[in-house]
Amino acid sequence: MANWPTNADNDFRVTTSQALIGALNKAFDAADPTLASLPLSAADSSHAQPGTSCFQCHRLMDPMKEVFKNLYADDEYRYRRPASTPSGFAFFGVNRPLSDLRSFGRTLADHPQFVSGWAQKICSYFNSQPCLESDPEFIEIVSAARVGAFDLQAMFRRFAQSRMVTGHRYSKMYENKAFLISASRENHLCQAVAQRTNNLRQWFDQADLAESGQYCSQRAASLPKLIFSRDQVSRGDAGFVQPTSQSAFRTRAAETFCVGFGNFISPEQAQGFLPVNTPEGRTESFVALAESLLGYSKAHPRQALVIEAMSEMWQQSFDASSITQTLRKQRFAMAKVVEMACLMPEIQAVGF
Amino acid sequence: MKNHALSRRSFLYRAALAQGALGLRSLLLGLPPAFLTHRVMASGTMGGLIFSERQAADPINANVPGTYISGVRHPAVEGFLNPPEYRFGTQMHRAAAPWGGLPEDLRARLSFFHHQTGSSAHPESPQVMTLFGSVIGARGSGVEQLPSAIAQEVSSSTGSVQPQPISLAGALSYEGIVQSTFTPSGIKSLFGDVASAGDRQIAGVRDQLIDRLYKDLKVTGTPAQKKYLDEMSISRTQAQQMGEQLSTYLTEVSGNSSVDQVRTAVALLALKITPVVRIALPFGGDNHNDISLEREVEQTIEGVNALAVLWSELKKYQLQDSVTFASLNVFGRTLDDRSARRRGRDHNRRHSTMVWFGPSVKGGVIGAVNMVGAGEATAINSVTGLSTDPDIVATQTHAAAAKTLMSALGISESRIETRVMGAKIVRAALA
Repeated sequence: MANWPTNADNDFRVTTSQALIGALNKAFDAADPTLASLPLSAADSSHAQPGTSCFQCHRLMDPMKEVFKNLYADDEYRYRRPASTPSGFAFFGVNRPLSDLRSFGRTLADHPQFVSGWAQKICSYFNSQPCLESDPEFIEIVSAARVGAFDLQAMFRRFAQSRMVTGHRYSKMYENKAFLISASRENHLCQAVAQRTNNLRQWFDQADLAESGQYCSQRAASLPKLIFSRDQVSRGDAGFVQPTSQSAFRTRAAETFCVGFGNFISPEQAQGFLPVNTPEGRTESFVALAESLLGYSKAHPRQALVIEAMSEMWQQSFDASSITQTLRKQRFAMAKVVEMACLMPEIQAVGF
Repeated sequence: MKNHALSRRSFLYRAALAQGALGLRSLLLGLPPAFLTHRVMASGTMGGLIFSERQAADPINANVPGTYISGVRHPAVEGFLNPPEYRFGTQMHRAAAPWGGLPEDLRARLSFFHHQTGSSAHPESPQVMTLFGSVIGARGSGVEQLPSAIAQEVSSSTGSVQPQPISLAGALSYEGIVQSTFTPSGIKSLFGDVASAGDRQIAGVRDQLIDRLYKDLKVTGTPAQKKYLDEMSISRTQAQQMGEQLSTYLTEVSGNSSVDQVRTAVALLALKITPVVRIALPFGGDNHNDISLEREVEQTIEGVNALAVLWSELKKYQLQDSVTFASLNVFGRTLDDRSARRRGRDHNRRHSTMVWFGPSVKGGVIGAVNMVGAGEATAINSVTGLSTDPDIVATQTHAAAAKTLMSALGISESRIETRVMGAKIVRAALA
C-alpha cells in the first residue's frame, strides 16, 4: 500500500491489482473466464457499466478490493473500524469468499498461478526477459516446486543452473527468441560487485565487507547510480520493467562508476589490500582480479589474455601518471587495472 | 603482400569515427550532418521533438482554449474563472491567464488539439502511446510507441548521434525494448566535469586493451555476444562525442524540475544527441481529490511557465524554428462540476488536449468540446479543423492528432500512412 497509494475514486483497486501481480505475476485480464464471486455493488456499478470493456475486469476486481477496504481508510491507510462488506476472490479459475486479509493471503498462496508466477519472476531476474512457459524445463521446475512446501531458494538455484539461463545447451525457449545479454542494472551490478569484492578480499585473507561498507553504498557510486536503471514494476503490468540496452549515458555512468571502484579497491593515498609494489605481488593481484572479479580460473583459456592486458594497463598507467611518489603511483596504476576490469562485459553485462 | 582486409573492429571503428567526425563538424557549424552530406531533409525536422506525457493524466485539458463554454468547471480564482480572450495564431479564444501570458510569438504557433484517447486507466499509458496498436513498427510489423516511431522517422534528417529517443521522466520503449530513464541531474552529474588530457590518455589505453581482449569474440562469439560488443563500441564513441559539449549546455540545470527537464531536453536536441526527448510536465496531477482545484491552478501556472522557459531556451540556441513540442497524455480529466460530491476531476476517456507548438504549427484550436456528461471531444473536419461537417469521427481524433503531429515534423504522408492506421491529417493545424 505504501508503493501503490489509492484514493477515494480508485478505492483500493490499485492495491488489489498490485497484490495479484506481486503474488501471482498476473494482472486482471478481460479474457479471464472465471465467474464473479459476487455481484457488483451499486457504487461499483457506476464505475463500470455491464456491457463495457471495463466491466470484464471490474466484475472480478471490485468484490475483491473490499477485503482491503474493510480494514483501511483510503487516505493515509489508517485502520478503520472494521467493516464487513462481503468480499470475494475470483481470478483465473479460483473462486472463493474472503473473510479477511489472512484469507486473501492464503488464497493467493494456494492459487495454481502462485508457483509459476514466482518462477517467471526468477527467470526474468536472470534473463532480463520472461521465460517460455511451455519450455519443458520450465514446466519441470514448476512441477517440482509444487511438491511439498514451496521453497523459493531451491527454485532460484534450479533456474541458475538451467539451460534457459545459462544457454549452454539447447533450450526450446531460444527456438524463436534470441538469447539476451543485458546491460547490467543497478540491482545486478551492485550485487555482483559486492560478491566479487568479497571474493577478492578472501583471496588476500581480508574479512568480507558488510553491505554498508561495499562500494555501492559509498558516495562515489551515488552519481553513476542515478543513471543505472533498476528492475522495476509498473502499475497494472505483470512482469518487470527491465531496460537492457547500452547507451552513451549508461556507458558514461559505467566509466564513472568504475573509476570510483578502482579507487575503492586500490586507493592511491592509503594502504590497500592488493599487492602493488613488487612484480610478483602485482602478478598475484592480476590473477586474483581475473579469478575473483571476472570469473576466469587458471584453467580458463582467457585468463592468460586477461592477465596480460592487466599487466599492460598497469605499466601504461604507471608511465603516464604525473604522481611523483612511487608507492602512490603504483597504487594509482593498480586502480586503473581494477577500473578496466570493472568495465568489462563480465561485470557490466548480465549473461555474457 | 599487404593485407588489405578490413577487420570487423576496424569497420565499426571507422564507421563510428566517420559519423563522429561528421557529427563534430556539424556541431561546430551548427548544421546537421544530413545537411552536410547533402541529403534532402523534410522541412521542419531539423531540430526534433520534445514530447511530454504523464501517466498521472493531468487536467491540462481543463483550462485551455476551447474549454470556456457553458457547463465546464474552471477553478474559482482570478485568471481562471472568467478570463478574457487571447490571440492564438489568428484566432481569439478565452483561456486561463497563464496561457494568455505566454509570449506572442509563441502563441502564434501554439495549438490545442481536442481529441479522445479512449482510455481511462493509468496503466494503459504505454498502450495509449501506441494508439492502441495503430502505430505500426518500423519494419512493418508489431507496434511502436508514437515518440519512438517519430524518432525512427526523423533521426536521419536531424542527424542525431543516436536514433533512440531519450526519456528524462517516464517510461518509454523503442522497438519493444524498454529504455532507461535519465534524469537531468543524473546527466549533468556525469558530464559536468571535463577530463584532463592525462586522464583521457589513460582512458584511451584502457579502451584499446578492452577491445583487444574481445577481438576474438567479435569473430567467434555468439550472436548475443557480438551484438553486445558492437553496442559497447558504439555507445562508447557516442559518449565521447557528446561528453564535453553537454557540460556547457547544462550549467543552469540544478535538479529534476519541469524547468530542468526542458533545459536538458533543449540541450540534447541542440547537440543532436537524439531526435526526440520525452519529458513529463505536471499540470495538476491525478486530481480526484483536488476539491477546490487549487493544485490544478498551481501546477498549470508552473507547467505553462516551463513552456515559457522552453521557448526562451529554444530561442537562445536558435532552435525555435526547428524544434516542435507536443503534450499528449494517457487521458484527460472530467470537465463538469463535481464539487458538490467533494470531487476534483476524474478520469475522462472522451476528452484530452494535445498542447503543441512548432515551426509548422498554426496557432489556434482544433476540434471542440461538447459538454455531454463529463465533456467530450467532438468529431473534426480535417480541412477546417472545426467540428462542423466532420470527416474524422471522435474516436479517431487521437490518431488524427498523431498524424498531424508527424506531418508537422516533416514526415512524408506516405510514411505517415505506413506507420499510423486510420484517421487523417488535419491540414488546418499546419502552417
